[in-house]
Amino acid sequence: MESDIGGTHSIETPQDAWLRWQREHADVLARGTGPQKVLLEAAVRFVTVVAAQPILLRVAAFFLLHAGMGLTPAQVGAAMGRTDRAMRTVQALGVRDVLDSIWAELGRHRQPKLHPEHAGPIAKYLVDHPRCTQPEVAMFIARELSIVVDAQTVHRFLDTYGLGILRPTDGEADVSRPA
Amino acid sequence: MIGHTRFGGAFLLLPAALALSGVAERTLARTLGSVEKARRLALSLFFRAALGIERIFHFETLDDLGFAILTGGEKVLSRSRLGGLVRAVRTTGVRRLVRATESLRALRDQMVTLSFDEHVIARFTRKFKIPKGFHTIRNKKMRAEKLFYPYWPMARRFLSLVVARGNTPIVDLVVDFLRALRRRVRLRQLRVVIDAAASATHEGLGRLDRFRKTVFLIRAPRRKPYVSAWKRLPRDAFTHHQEPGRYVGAKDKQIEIAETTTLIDAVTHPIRTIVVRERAMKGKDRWHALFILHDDTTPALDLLHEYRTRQHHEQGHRIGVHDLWIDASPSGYAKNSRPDRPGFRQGPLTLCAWIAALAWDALRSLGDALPARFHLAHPRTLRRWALMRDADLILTPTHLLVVLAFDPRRVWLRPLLQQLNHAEVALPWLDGRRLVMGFAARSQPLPDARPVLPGEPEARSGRAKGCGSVWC
Repeated sequence: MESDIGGTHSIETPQDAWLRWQREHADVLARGTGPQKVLLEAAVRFVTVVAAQPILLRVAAFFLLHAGMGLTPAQVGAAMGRTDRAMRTVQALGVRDVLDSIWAELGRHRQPKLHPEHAGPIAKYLVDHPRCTQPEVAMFIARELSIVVDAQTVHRFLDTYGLGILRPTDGEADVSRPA
Repeated sequence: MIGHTRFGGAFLLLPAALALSGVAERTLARTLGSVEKARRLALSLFFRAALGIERIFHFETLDDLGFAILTGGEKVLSRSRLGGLVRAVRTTGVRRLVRATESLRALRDQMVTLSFDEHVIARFTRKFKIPKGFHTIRNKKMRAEKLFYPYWPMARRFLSLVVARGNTPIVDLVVDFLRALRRRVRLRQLRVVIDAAASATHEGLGRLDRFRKTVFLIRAPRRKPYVSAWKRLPRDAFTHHQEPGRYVGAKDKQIEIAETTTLIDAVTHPIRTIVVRERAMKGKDRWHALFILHDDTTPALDLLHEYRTRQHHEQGHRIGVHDLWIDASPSGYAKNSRPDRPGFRQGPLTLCAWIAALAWDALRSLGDALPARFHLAHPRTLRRWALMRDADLILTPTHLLVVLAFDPRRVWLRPLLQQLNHAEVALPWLDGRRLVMGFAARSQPLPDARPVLPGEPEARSGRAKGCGSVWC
């Protein structure tokens, strides 16, 4: 992805942008409370700095709309340079949806939390604890590797690296394995 | 879990080793009878050099499981089996291996300076009448064999290897190599740096002079008539230069350079000669001179600096002898040959010495991938910091997991491990299982790992007794 962060295409300084925005959106500003005005100023300056990079705009809009400061989609849209319709769409997204939309735009999948280098310590844990359950493995991963994963992810990871042989056969002690 | 190894970090060298093993399978399998034998021979010799196993007979006491896997099997080869495989190779197969793994292509269309020098291996035999050659370090003529390694000082790597009898003049080797090099690679300009051995005879200089397109920088022998002639040069012929001293903060070295020519029978034109007078701090001044063939334009000081890059070549030989044990390469004469006419079998000697050079190349690449302080680190430094790591080995149906003991001071190894894991190295001798490396978790001490300091030290710190930090 080509990045145009840093305002290489924009000559306008954040201060100039804020002054221009105040002139153009005086009505929006008049309707806002003091804290809302501070947020809007920060948003306008931020948009200038990131040169309206679409992914960062989406993240910033999502933050403003869910900050609990009472900003409306129209106010946020004015600050972001987008329509209030677009802001309502962003408002309706869940956290995972926003992340998925960003990953989709970047053109790549989510990076797995567990990497090949983690196979070793997990295998050692399985060798030392042959009767452990998958939730116990997940707890070990969270404690030692500081990575929070669910039991299904653990199951997939063990399958990938053939670590299933280090555990008892299906149904013996595997209470968490999905059907 | 299948076991424990103390060579855990050496698995980082497996991509380079597998590349070599692939070539060995193509070139040596027919002679040795099977692909597996060729692979085990190449891998055993590679990791012998990389991990500093001094002699082939030390394989008898090697029972490390990691080393066995690294060398392509479940057990380490016995000394007799490995020795048998080494002796069984033929010269033609080994030459093909050398040719497939040498890096002459990197020189294409470049202006390169190469250094040619020979390393003499002493052979302490009274039984076999092998030719005698001059051993510089021992300063005497003795039974010996020669390794002729062309070296690329800029890249700090050995380019190829030719082995020869102890009495072969270096000029013969240089001439043969230059012809082969010209046939195989087109160069923009070739500049060659050679030690004084090449100027030992006038006839040798004459032969080198016939390579008109090649520039030669050859150290002149410090013979009495030559030195007398240099001392007779007028005072104003010398240009004064200052160079950094022997260490940081030392007094600058004072040198004086003059240009003259030397007439030699075998060469039709006067040879450009650069005379260097090194001012001594005390005692007599030192005189050096360089014969320059086919370059009349480059300033004298630049040529002197170019010649000095040859020191990297000497350092390469030093590393070969003391870190990669090239002097322990098998001899060129067969033990079952006639003692008065022993012959010269190049295959085993070439194979061991060349694989040691390839191991050095792989170690240098490993050093380059590590933090800056490990660039150009010597093999034993890399062994100490990266290769000799305690590790557990876990075999699954699809993977070989190498779990290095956790050490917070080795976090700089992590990018290298990730790179290796990303490459998905497959091990043919483990049914194509993939290699995966990682660190153990903090709370997972390796069962067989022994702490460096014993729990109850016999020698204690004297700090408690008010002796500061001195150990007593």
